[in-house]
Amino acid sequence: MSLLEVKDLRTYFYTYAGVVKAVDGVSFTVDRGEVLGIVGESGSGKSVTARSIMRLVDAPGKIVGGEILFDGVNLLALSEKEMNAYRGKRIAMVFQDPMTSLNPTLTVGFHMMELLKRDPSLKTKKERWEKAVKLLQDVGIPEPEKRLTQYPYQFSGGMRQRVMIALAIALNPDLLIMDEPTTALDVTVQAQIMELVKRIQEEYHMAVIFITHDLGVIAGFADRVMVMYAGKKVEEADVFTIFDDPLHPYTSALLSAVPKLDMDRSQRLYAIPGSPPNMISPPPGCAFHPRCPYAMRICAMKQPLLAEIDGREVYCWKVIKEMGVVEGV
Amino acid sequence: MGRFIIRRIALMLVALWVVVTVTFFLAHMIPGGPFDREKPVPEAIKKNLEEKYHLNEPLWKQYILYLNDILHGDLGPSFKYPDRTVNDIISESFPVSAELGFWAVLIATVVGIWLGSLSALHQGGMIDSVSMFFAILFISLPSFVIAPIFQYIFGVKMHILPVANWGTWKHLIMPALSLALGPTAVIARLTRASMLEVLNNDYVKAAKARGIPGLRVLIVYALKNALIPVVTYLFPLIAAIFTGSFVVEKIFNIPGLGRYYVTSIYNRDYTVILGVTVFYAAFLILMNLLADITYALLDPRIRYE
Amino acid sequence: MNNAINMEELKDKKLWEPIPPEEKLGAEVLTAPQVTFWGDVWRRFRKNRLAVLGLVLLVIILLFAIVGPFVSPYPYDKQDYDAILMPPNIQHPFGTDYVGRDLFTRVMYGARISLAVGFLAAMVQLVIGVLYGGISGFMGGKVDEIMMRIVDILYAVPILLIVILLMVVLGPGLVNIFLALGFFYWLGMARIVRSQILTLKEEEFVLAARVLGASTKRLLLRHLIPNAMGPVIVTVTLNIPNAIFTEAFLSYIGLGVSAPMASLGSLASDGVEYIRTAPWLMLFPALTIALIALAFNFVGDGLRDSLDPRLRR
Repeated sequence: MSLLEVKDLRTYFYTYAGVVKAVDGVSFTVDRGEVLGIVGESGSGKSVTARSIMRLVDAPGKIVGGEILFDGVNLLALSEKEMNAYRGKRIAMVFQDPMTSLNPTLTVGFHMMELLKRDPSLKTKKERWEKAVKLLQDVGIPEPEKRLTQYPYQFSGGMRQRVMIALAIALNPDLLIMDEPTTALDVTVQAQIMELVKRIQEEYHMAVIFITHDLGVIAGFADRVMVMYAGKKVEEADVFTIFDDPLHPYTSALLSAVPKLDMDRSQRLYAIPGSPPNMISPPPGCAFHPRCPYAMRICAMKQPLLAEIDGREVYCWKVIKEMGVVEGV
Repeated sequence: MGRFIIRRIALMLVALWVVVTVTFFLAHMIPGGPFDREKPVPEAIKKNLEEKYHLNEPLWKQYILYLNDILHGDLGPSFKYPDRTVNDIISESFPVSAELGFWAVLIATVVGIWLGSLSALHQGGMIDSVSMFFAILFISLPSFVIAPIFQYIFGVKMHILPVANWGTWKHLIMPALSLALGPTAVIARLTRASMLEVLNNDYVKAAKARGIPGLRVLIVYALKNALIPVVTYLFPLIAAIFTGSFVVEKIFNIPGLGRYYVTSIYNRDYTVILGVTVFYAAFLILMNLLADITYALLDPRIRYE
Repeated sequence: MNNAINMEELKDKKLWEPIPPEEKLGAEVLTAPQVTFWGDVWRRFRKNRLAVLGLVLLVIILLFAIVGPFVSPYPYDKQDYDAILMPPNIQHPFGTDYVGRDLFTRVMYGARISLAVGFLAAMVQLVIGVLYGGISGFMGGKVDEIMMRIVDILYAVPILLIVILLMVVLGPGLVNIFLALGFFYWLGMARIVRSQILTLKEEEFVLAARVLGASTKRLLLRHLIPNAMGPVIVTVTLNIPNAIFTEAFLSYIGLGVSAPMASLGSLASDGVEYIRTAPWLMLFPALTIALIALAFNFVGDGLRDSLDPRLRR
């Protein structure tokens, strides 16, 4: 049984300007120890998906449909108190901006100790403290004993993110969700954090959902990749296939847009034409069709059906056409 | 932290010195006073005055002497009633003002924080809209407007509270409320805005994501940080209430320092004016200092500025 | 949108042809209609009911104060010993005072004076504050540090006490009051202006303009100042009722304008002793002060919300 099974998740935002279908029928699974990368533009629904799993969707957002099965239990059917028992302990999350994720008036030690109280194997304060020190060491923070007594403003961005990671793994969760954890950091720090995350994932054998818009980061870390657009999944495959042989036009476009080292300097950078969809009234049919070079009439009329090929999933009329499954087409 | 406090104290001492100096020189400019060299004064009285106030000395020397007196805590005798010293007057009437002020501050703080938090937690709801409307209303009504209205309604018309004077707890209600209403409104709005801002902060969401129970997040993460600006406002609030008490004491005929101050202005009782001003100034400056220190204690980021 | 798919439908060959550009829907993502900065501020202001109420109230009060006295049949200082201490009636809507003067007219004049004081004081504060804060913020460095140190010290000084003393020294009088108020309460304004300038100096569009070769003066006039105006305007609006209160307060303790001219504060102060016999003498001026303050506060608050970029839309 998979660790996490998301079935037809729908999360809508009821704003005064209209209903935003941020996540509109998304399904995927994550197995134990597996790394799933979720890729997409801003507004594609990746963050909202992550928050829905944690049931941390704020008003005016609401999870309106679907199931989220974690180790067989439907998280959406739990009470708030029951759900809280999962948070931090079995599913943990690391957010994008480390500069604001820590309470500025509390020491880092306080943050850690408070969390470690929920670890039944640590019975005394001394044990908790030692564990806190070890965790900081694990994430690569020098002088951990001193650091625990310090306040967040005394840490740099990269350091703070390490602290957030330490907090996330403190209770040894089965699933770690990381929502663009390196976007707010410098490139060199990004690399360091990614090394750290990779090492931790291997050591603790955690399942990870890694959300980003940066394909390069995904390439070095994920086992499988799910591409989202306008609140829906458009393609899902293992990481090698996605990069070697993308089927969905959006995925290809994303890959083309990444500048490469061996490009000719006179080549223009590729940018996907058009602009991201209006989420209050998205285009009819396939939401990507206004920007798609292969758009057909049907793309403007109906949303594509799921096509499963060689263990991958694609939602695209062009792919369906090329599969030759429709008579006479 | 220590360095921070020392710097603030230094600042305050300079401010105090500025006040004393300005006050001193202004007092010497008051027309028609004993310091006014132009007004003719009977010989005998003149001799007395000159002795007491060192009037025959050059101005700068009088200033030094005055500073010296102040440092020793001696504010001199009342000009109008020479057998009473300013120190006496202050020690008699200040406790009355202090009692009144204490109740006003208490009401303002407790009710203000409570209403403000409630409004923030139920943002957009009934409580929020109603509270905030009344908040703006009461901010616009200064205490000297509210006081007579209260007097009229509860004292003259309804006869349930004494219109003026001092003595029993009944005499406390209207003046304390008049002083407290404005500040209550300010605190309520401040608390509300602060809470809303804090509740939206990432670290609150991150804490929830770690599975920390909602109530604890509210108190340890939200409330504690949200109250920082409120607690620091407390001290200027105390200052504001004391200034407000000038008029309220006059209206309700309460024998506090404020009323004495006002009367002394009417009477042009120079030494009292001088002395009380210095006393008030010292008190207010002390409040500001305490506010800064409290803020630094509560928010570690400030200490290192 | 009906996404039900009928397998038969799919066989229509036309569906599978490339879409001509005209039929691509959603390609033009319409953004919100273009509005100017101030147009947007006004739009948001209009939506705020309290703010609009405040504005209406303000207009009424201004009419009352400015036009009123010309229309009134009584001059404000006409004493009529046959009509002493009369409660409100048709001839005297606010009643009369202890020498028979019509209170309605006096309140109108009082409002004029209070508004004038408030407005003028706020203007003086504005000018001094903008100059001081502007120079300090713009020059930066040592100059800024020193200027702000001075402000810090002055901030710690209880200004009201000094103003009281100053009024005792200068004596009562309209000009004295608004000079005293204006010259002493500009600190807050200076700080706000300075912080605006500092923020804007760092803003990227300043850098962009500089790159395009804009001169310092041009920078100041066309870029920095218009954008810094927002909080400044809000502060001015909220300073006016503060000045009026302070003036009323001073009048209350006998340091305000001199008789027979009266501000709302001195009217209220005079009326206090008659609270039992003729409460209207105190109530009407007090309520007028309250209404003025209310109006300005509503408008100021509304402006603040309308100008706050975070609350866009």
